[in-house]
Parts: sequence; structure tokens; C-alpha cells
Amino acid sequence: MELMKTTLVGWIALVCIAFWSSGCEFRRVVVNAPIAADTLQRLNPGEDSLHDIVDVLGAPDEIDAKTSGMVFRYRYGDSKTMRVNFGWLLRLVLPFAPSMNLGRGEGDTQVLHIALNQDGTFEHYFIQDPPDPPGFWFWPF
Amino acid sequence: MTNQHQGLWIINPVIWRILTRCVGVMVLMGVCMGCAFVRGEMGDPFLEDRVKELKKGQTTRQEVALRFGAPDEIVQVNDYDIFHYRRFDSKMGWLLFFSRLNVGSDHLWVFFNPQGIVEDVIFGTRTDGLEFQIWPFGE
Repeated sequence: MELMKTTLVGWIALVCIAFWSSGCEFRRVVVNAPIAADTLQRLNPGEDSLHDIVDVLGAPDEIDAKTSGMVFRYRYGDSKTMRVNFGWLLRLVLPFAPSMNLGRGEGDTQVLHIALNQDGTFEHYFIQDPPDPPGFWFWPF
Repeated sequence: MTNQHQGLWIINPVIWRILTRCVGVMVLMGVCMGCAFVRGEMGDPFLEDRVKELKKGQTTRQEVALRFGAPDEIVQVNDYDIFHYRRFDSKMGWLLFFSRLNVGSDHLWVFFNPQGIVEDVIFGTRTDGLEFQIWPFGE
């Protein structure tokens, strides 16, 4: 008997949580894989060729000219969005659910900049410190 | 305590089993109705065999254009003209209120010397390991 009671209460709780949670939304968009800074230690200035760089990091997202040589650029992006529809709760007492949304999104990008000499050998790199990962929060104010 | 006093909690075990299964199916249907897996691709995949056909010092600009079409971008760096071909792949998993979209890109860069002959080829894929994911938290 106790088992039946617990099961029924469990199912009711699950349905209630699913119903209430329908008013929330968690979205994430990730572009490319994070750039691992430690892999860059393998590159030797003036020695490693363009193909050695590609073997370590893959093909770049962008190539730009510089005074002598070129620049490879790699990008990584991560964004998180959360939204809560407080109007959804009114479904419990009203026949309709007015829309009362509060939402917020945060995004981070990381850029790796690799400079090559005129002869195509590795010159230097710049990379920003890994950004704090964006969080989920709905309060926009 | 008699059966009548126990009210709702006294149900025939067979009926109870049917009832819990019905509720389970309803919850499962509710979950399944709110799920989606979406894939978006932009551009044709670069076949490795076709990329290998590009011979340094032999293949001309016209032959590259015949194989891969017009480039998405032409970059001029030092004395090189560089044809840039891109491809994007995205996979999204969505379940009720959680969703995650993973985007990856492949790039093919073909370097030409001033005579319009292939000097170098850079090719890399980042879409191979792209996964459908739903859970937006963590890595």
C-alpha cells in the first residue's frame, strides 16, 4: 500500500515539475571546439612550417595579410541563453497563459592569432586567457 | 481499517498496474512530443580524394574552379591569391526546455602563385566529431 502511495505521489510530482518547467528554457550554442593553449607549446618559431601548424590546429577560419607574411586566425564561441515564462504558472488558476518572459543571454569568444614569416614558418602567436564560461541566468536587469 | 476507509489507495493490483502504465505512457508522450533533432549543412562536404587531386606546381586556377566551383572568398596575401572554400555543419538536440546547438566548420585554402598555379593547399575538417547534444550544461 505504501509503495502504491509513493509511486502515485512520485508520478504527480514528476508531472507537476514537467508542467512548471515548461515555462523555462535553457539554450546553448557552441561554435567549434575550445582552443587548447598547451598545444601551441609544440610550435617552434622559425622552424615549423605552415603545414606543421595545420597538423596541430587544423585549417584556420581566416587568413589575413601582414607587413611580411600572414596571419592565421582561429575562433571558438560559446553562448548561453535562459528564459523563464512566469505567465506559465498562471495556467494553474487561469484558463489561458499570458506571456511574461524574462530572459538573458551571455556569450564568449576566444580568438587565436598565429603569425607566419614571409617564408611561411611560424613566427609567434597571441591568445587571450580562456574566458570565464558564460552562465545561465534569466534576470535581464 | 476496512477497505472503504482506505479509499483511493485500495485498488486491485491489476488496475493499479494499468493505471501507472497509462500515466507513464502519457508522460513519455509528453516528453517525446517536445523533442527535436535538427541538422543544418551549408556547402558540400570536401572529399579528401578530390583535395588530393590538387597537385602543387601543376593544377591551375581554372581546374580548381572546375572541381570546387567559385570560391567563397579570395584573399590576397603577399604575392599569393588564396581561394577559400567553407563548409558549415550544425547539429541541434532539443528536449522540452533544454537545447544545444553545435556548429563546426571545414576550410579549404588553395594558394596560387602569380602564374595562377597551385602553390600550396591547406585543408582541415572540424565537422567530423560534431555530435547531437541536448544537455546545455558542462563542457
